[in-house]
Amino acid sequence: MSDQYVIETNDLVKSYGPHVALDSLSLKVKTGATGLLGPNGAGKSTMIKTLLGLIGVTSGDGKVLGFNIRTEGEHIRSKIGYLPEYECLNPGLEAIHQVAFSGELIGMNPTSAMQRAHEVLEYVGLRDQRYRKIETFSTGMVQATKLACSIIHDPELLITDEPSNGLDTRAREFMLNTLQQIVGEGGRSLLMASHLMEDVEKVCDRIVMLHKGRLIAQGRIEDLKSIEQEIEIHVWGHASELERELRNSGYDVRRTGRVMRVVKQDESAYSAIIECAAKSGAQLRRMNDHEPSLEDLFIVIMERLGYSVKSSAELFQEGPSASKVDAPPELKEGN
Amino acid sequence: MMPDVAQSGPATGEWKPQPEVPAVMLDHVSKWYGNIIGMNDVSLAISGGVTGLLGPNGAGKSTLFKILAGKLRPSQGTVRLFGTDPWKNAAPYSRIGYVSENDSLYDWMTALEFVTTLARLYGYTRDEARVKAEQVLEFVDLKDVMNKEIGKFSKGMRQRVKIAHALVNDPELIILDEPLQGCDPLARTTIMNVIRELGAMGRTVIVSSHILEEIERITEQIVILNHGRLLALGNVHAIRDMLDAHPHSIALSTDRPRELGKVFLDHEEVFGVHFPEDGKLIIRTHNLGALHADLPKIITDSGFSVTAIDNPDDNLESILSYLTGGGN
Amino acid sequence: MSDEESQNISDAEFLGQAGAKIEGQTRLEAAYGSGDGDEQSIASATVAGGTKQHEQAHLGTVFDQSYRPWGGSLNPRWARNWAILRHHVYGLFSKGHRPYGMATKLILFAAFLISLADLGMSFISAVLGQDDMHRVFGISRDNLYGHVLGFWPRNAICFPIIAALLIGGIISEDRMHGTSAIYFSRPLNRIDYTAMKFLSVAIVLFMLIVGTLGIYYTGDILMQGEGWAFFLDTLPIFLGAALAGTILVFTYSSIGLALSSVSRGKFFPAVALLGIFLGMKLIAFLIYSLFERSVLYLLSPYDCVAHVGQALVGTTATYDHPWTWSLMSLVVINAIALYILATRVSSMEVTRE
Repeated sequence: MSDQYVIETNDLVKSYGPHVALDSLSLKVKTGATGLLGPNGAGKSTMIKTLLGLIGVTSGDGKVLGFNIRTEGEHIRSKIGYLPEYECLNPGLEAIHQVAFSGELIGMNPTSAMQRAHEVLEYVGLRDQRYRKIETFSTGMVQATKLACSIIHDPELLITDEPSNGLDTRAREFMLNTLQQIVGEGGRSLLMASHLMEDVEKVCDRIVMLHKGRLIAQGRIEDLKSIEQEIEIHVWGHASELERELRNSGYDVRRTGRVMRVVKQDESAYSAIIECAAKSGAQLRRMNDHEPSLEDLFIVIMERLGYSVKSSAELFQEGPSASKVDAPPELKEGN
Repeated sequence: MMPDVAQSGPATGEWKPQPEVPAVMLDHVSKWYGNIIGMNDVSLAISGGVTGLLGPNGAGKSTLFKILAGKLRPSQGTVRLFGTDPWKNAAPYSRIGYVSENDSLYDWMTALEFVTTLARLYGYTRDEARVKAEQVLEFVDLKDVMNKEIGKFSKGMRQRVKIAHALVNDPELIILDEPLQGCDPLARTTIMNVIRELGAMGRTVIVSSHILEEIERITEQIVILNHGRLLALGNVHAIRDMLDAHPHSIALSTDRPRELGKVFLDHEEVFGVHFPEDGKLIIRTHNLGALHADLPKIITDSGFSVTAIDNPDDNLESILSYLTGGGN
Repeated sequence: MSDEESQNISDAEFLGQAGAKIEGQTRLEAAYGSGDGDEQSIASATVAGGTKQHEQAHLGTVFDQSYRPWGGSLNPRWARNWAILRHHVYGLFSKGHRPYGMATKLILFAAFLISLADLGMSFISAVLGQDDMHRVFGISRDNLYGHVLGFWPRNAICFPIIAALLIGGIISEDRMHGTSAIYFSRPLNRIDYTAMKFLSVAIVLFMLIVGTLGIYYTGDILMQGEGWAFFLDTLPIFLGAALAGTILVFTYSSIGLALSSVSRGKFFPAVALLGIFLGMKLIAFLIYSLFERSVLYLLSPYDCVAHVGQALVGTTATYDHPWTWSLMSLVVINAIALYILATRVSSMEVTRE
């Protein structure tokens, strides 16, 4: 087990009675920024709890920053920072005091904790607001304060759970830039659990994806992507004619409304598209290589696993017909 | 919202929306809280299709939603949902689905019980309600956990329960406040899909989200609020077109930017070109449509190769920043 | 991340296969209202006439964001525990710690003064030189017992209310605000957490109940100018009363914390504590009045402590049953409370699945 991995697990299993939350998970997370993905219920929270040493594991073991998760939980928790998804701050306290207290709880002595709290609140952009009570803060400021609480002791590994939840554009951008900075300039590692694939792509270069407690994929984002290279175009006017022209020229075209994707066979595809557009009188408002995003990757993976994107047809099937369904006994005897 | 419907009794299904009446109509609506203005003289009508509601924090979006939900009464002006005033009348709510941002669900109920109970409030029989509830819960992919208590659900699951209950009575008007929060990409894409399809079917959907990329994927019809005022309303590209103070740009990626730039300068609609970096050409124009109409031919005739075309500021983020002065 | 750039071999893994890539087609979507691309005209729009809000993006002064590392060392367990204790107890006196409402602080101060009422009376009798008055208010078995365990007004109003105020939100607020996530994602043991919270309540109650007993005792001795003989004679009584007071403090704390761990709000634990202490006493009292059976007093925490206190201090027992029964009952009551507390604290969450 080398020390270039911040997190390693070996056939980690955690079950609650018959329900298996983590199923033979063997992860290797390197230093740097890694995204933790997975549909709801995939076991991400359980995994975080086991990594923090908060719950026992059924079998297997793991190490975080070299410490054993089964026996050295306290050491782990003093070396990592955790940014929870839900609210976790005392609204009646001023930001500076909440952050200082969270540092004291790790074992910092009160003077260092207070001094660091000032530093860290300035770092997250709350220098002018640090004496205000948390109940007066906007969501962006609350998230920044939570971040401050988690980095006060300069942890080597920061685990964040949905860091941009509920933030508006500006606050979100600031949060992501700050996280990037902590990894880049600060040289720390980050494990970011998020549903917003754009955020993960911006901040992380590697991902780990779970589903039903199992590891589905891990590695660098570019290494995982091998989806067909396509050129995407947005067409205003004469789209059907353009589509026909392209097909006649031997190109493979998919289309939804005015968005089309053309399979890129070689470099001449671009000029071919523009020529066909000139011929058919279509306007090419947009043309670029369609870089499959992390979200595309996620969906392709889920579709590979048998889950598909549903449509409204499935929602509004034929109306309810009472004869089909037998209500269970508890619903039958009076309501 | 649910208690309001319960108090006025279940709708019998006899009330139907009048087709020529817009789903949502606001006429010079203002709302103030003491000295603070929540909404300032807003007039709009929304009918059919998907409309995105945008604006920075504090712009008046939540005030608008509360007024539409009948929780707030405007200080001035009239509000009509399908032609009826939502403040006095709960009848329209049988045809409206509402997903609010706040998180108050009945934690002790299971997902199925919750959606079934609320479905019954719409007038379905017990069995019908149960079938509808199961259908809609399967649709949002909560079938496996529909008998678990909501109190144990994660945020994304709670979000999907809310969406399920909003869709259970097949509504004509659906209002969604931050519907995609906490949803994983598959759920998000499914819900976005459904929203687009509902719009295509002729229902009226109003969606609000902070995440502009999500709105852009869902719809081009938008309403922009700021400081309680209506700033813009309509198709995103048309709005962009109207911002004369900010001339349009077309960005091209080419290996011969300067030569190609020279060719474009001869075009009457082009007033400037510049070269931000190697391999990139930006063309400035006041008339985007005219220039784009000629663009393919000019490029083909010039013989230069172009590998990418883009309108860099024809997106929601730029529009919002132009209209709201660049800041929150 | 230059380490990664130098690593040319991909270590990507998919469905357990190393080096596997994910292939397929991406989803193709178009926004609602974007049309089918065959017409050129766009739908209409309106922009509010020329009113542009000109606010400058304002982050304040020039903001230089640079990460500063911290090379300090962390103190061990006792320091963390001390931090919790400080946070809760100092909050009563100064800013920057756990916030207590002004009303709470005033009531606690008033309780402090009321507790010292007997010292006050004793002082007045000393100043006035009234010996018979002093016999009533000076040190005696009954008065030492009464200082901590007298029912009216101390245990009927004063002590239950201050206990209720102190335990009100002590654990429930961590549930309500989610601050349990902050506590437990630190290297903090749940036992330490519970113990420190317990201590923070117990210390304040101890000061107000037993601390004031000590002040009364020493104050009276000094004022009366009593000698060592008096001190040695009365010391066992004082210690007995102090012990009884400590048992009372412990019982209030354990029941109070158990109630606070059960709920999410501030009111329920406070009201429930008052309900249990005063309510059980009332029920037992009514039964006694009607049926002349004092056994039901075993259910009332106050009466159990009072009974044990009577035995410790040596005053007349006011109950018919043996005091050892009351002691057993106390042990059972506290055990139940601590058990509830332990279970509830161990179920407090750091994340939510």
